[in-house]
Amino acid sequence: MNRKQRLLTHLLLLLAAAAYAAPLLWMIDTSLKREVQAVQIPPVIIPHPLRWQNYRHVLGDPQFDFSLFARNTLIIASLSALGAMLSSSLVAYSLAKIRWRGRGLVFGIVLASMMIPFPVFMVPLYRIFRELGWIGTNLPLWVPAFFGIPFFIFLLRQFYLTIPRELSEAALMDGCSHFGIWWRIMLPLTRPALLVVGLFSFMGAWNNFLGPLVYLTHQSSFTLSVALQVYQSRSGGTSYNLLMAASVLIIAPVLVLFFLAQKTFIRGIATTGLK
Amino acid sequence: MEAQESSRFARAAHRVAIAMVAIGAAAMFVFGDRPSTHILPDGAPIHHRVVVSYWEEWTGFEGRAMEHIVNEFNTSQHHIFINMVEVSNVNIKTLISTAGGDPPDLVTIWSGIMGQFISYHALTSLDTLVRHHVVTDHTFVPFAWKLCAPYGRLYGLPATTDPNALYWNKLLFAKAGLNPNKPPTTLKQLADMAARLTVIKPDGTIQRAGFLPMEPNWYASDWGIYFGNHIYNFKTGYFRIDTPQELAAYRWLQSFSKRLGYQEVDSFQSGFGQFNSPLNPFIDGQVAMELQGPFLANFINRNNPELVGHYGVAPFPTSFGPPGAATFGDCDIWVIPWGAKHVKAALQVLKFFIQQKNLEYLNDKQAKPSPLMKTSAQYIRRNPNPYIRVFDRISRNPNVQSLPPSPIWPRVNLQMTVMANRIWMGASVIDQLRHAQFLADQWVQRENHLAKLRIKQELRR
Amino acid sequence: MRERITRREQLAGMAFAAPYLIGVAAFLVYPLAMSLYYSFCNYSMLQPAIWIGWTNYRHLLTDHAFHTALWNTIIYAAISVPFTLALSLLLALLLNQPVRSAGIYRTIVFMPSLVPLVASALIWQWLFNADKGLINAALRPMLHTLGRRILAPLAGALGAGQATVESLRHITAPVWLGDPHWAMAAIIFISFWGVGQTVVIFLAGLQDVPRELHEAAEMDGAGAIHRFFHITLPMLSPVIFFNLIMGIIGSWQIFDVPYVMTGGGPGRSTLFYSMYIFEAAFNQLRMGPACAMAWIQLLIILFLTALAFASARKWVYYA
Repeated sequence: MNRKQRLLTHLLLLLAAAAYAAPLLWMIDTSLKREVQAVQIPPVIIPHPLRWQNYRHVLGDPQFDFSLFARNTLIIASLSALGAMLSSSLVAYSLAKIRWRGRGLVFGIVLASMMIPFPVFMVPLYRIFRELGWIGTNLPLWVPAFFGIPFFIFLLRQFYLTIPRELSEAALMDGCSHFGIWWRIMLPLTRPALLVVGLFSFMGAWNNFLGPLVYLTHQSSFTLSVALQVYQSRSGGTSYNLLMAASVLIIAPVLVLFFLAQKTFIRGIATTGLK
Repeated sequence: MEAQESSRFARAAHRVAIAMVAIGAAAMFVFGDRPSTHILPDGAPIHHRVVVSYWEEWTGFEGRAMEHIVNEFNTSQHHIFINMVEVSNVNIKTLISTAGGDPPDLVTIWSGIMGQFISYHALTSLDTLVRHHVVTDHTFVPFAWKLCAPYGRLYGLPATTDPNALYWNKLLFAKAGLNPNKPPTTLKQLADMAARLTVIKPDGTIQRAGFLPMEPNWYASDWGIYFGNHIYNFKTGYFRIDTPQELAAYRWLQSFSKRLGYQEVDSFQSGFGQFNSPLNPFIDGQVAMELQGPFLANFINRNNPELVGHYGVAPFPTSFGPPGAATFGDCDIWVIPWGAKHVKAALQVLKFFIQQKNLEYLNDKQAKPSPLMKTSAQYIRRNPNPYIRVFDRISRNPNVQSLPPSPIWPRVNLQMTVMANRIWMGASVIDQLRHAQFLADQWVQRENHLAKLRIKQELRR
Repeated sequence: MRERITRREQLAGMAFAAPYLIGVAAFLVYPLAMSLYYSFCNYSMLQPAIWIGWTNYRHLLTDHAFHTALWNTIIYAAISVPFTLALSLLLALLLNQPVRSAGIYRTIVFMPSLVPLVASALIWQWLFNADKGLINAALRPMLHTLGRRILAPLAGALGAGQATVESLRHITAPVWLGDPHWAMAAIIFISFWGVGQTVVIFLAGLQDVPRELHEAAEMDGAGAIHRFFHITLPMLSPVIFFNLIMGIIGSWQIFDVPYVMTGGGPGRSTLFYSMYIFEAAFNQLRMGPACAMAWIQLLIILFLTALAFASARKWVYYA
């Protein structure tokens, strides 16, 4: 690359970065303004004075019980992550490392079921959860994760296939059970992949909106996503500076998690597209 | 290289795992165990009481008013505890949870959804209150009673009433050279005054509007009333939408957007602040006249006390008679959803809620007229709404119309709002009305057809 | 050679797969069958379902809101899917350049895809606000100059009528979410903001393209554009295919952003398929039509995916 090209590349990169960062920066910016300043024309770029009270106001709002909603979300997200990691790796192991009749069919179902849109299940699942007495509890949002998530089964199976057959066969010869192999050999070997699954399902549960919107009927069990929408649409409305402050509060944990796990994230996403 | 990379990766992964566990543990620690919400106002926990879960839509000071009555009830006896929760989108949430078999025991819903709730068997009948003479058809103002017992059986009790009226800003009237004490008495006059009150900036954008039929936008389907239309046929269950009266109403609506340019108005409107804020367009003087419910007075008191005493309220003009010859009234209704677990206790609670003292307290705090026929002098005196008498008269007016108790009204209402939007943006009024009429007829026919099929099947069984 | 499957292996395999097998029965096959059954029923969940045959499907044929939702979703998918694919490929190419602090740029482009969609919707609702939003605040002076200095004189020089020139002089910023066409445009635009994950997948694909191929082609005197179309693109085609499939499935299910941002309005201009299903099922308890629509949605997605797979033989290149 010559200098001109390099300059052009940098320019384009800067443009792209500006376009992608601007909405988030504007969100933070608005969240630190008074309402009157937030709607001023022409827009005020640097909030003055910095209004940290907005955050205190949001956190202290009885209608937006952040700590409660964060807790609800965290419980659902953690249990989903745990369930997805355990069940998906078990199933993936069976599909990749054990020879049994019907596994081809099961793998086919795994692939096909990724294409089924959620609305097809929405109504009958609601009925099933009603019969189980689960409506109004958080069970519908995490219990299914313990029964294997197709996308993650697929992902982990691809990982298991890259592990040499000899390894598990030798262990079998030594009298090790499949469960032992899975627990002692496979799980440690594929820890990064497992973590990807955990992270993704955690994030999926954190960001999920339609599920909680349908299944969580009691305000006290709401997740952050639903709570944010409710905060926006409550009677009398909510001004944008407060809405942006609430949004910052909901986005922040996700971004923190991302910065802690940047590599795992990028790695994980990168592998999903391959083969 | 590859090995080094992957071991670095493994280490990173390890860090993440620890971080995740740490975050989780920290969160559990920070958020800790929550104390039970079932606590009496004085901090005492409750023992051996039936807990009635109660969903309330209003937040803020309006919610606090209801909370006060709930606390009164909770301390007045030792058997029942009301657990009140403020719930947004309460109509939809109630419908979903009732379908899910896990409804609240008591809830305040919007009157427009009563027909749908009743026809879907989503409500518990309150006829026992009639049988025991707790309430009669003369307890409440007629329109409220009709909303709660549209087909003879009682399904709810009115909590508050919301009759609509015209608010006008006297300061802006004076500024525009109009008599601040003379509101418009005909719709023609209203349009003329609106034109005089409108201020356009040099760059062509709107600085102030005299009157905008789409502000607030929640009455978009009610304009026909002021032109003499009765949208619902109680006998047949069909709707009357493509009538000459509705045609006149929506032509009138469109005339405002034609005069100002809908793009201009839209841009102007998108800058309005939230309803509950000093930037509410009526409160901060961006709109000079509005059709509004009584509650706006409360928000004026709170968000711009300087306007108090400088605005007026009068019945809205009509096309065929004096102002008030036809008006619109809405209602919040207490209902017990079908499948509620504590019906008996909820009935006890309702009996308490509708005591004159409590209903008047609630409506006073929300600046609304009481739904009871009987009123006390102090309720009028205490009410923070300076125009409570105007609203009270409207809600007792025999001409007041309310929302149709039809199972498909929510759908028709939505369609009429869509229709009003399109007309506002310049679509042909007659085409839009005919389209809405066609859809409403189609829905009624389908609903009737399905009901017939259901009866046939049930008979066969 | 077929290996003999021992009884032990068979049992172990099934035992390991048991969670999923139970899950398939409870959360896949049974709901699927029930949903199909309900699509032929009148059912509100509060009363027992009654069989009404094809009525729900027949009614959908003349349901205007359904047609609107279907059409809106087709428009959205047809524009959003190819454009997000092209955009993320371009971004990936750009981010793949060996420049300093490339990692920071990648992070910035990736971050928005982590933002919960509800929050995205609120952020963009605020940005797109016609009167006070940042986008129009930036557009207004630009359009002002553009209209007065460039478009109007240009139209005048080209001999356009007085009215046209005058309207060009006063060209105004769109009201975005208040205008049926611009509201759709805004929602499509937001899908461009969340392309981070697709970009990362493309980046990974780009790094798998063997360097030697490029070097060999360069020696033969092939230019950058030639190399892109003849080496990078074919090598990347499996990844493009994967992203295409994901894009199709995702775009047909769009819900969160329009639900929060516009609620389907103005009019019904941003009512999407999944929103209408949700509305029918949980705002009106019309479970029958909701299930019928969901099944049609499933068939559409299956058909489009099958189409993509069939075409893949022609353009997807597996090394």
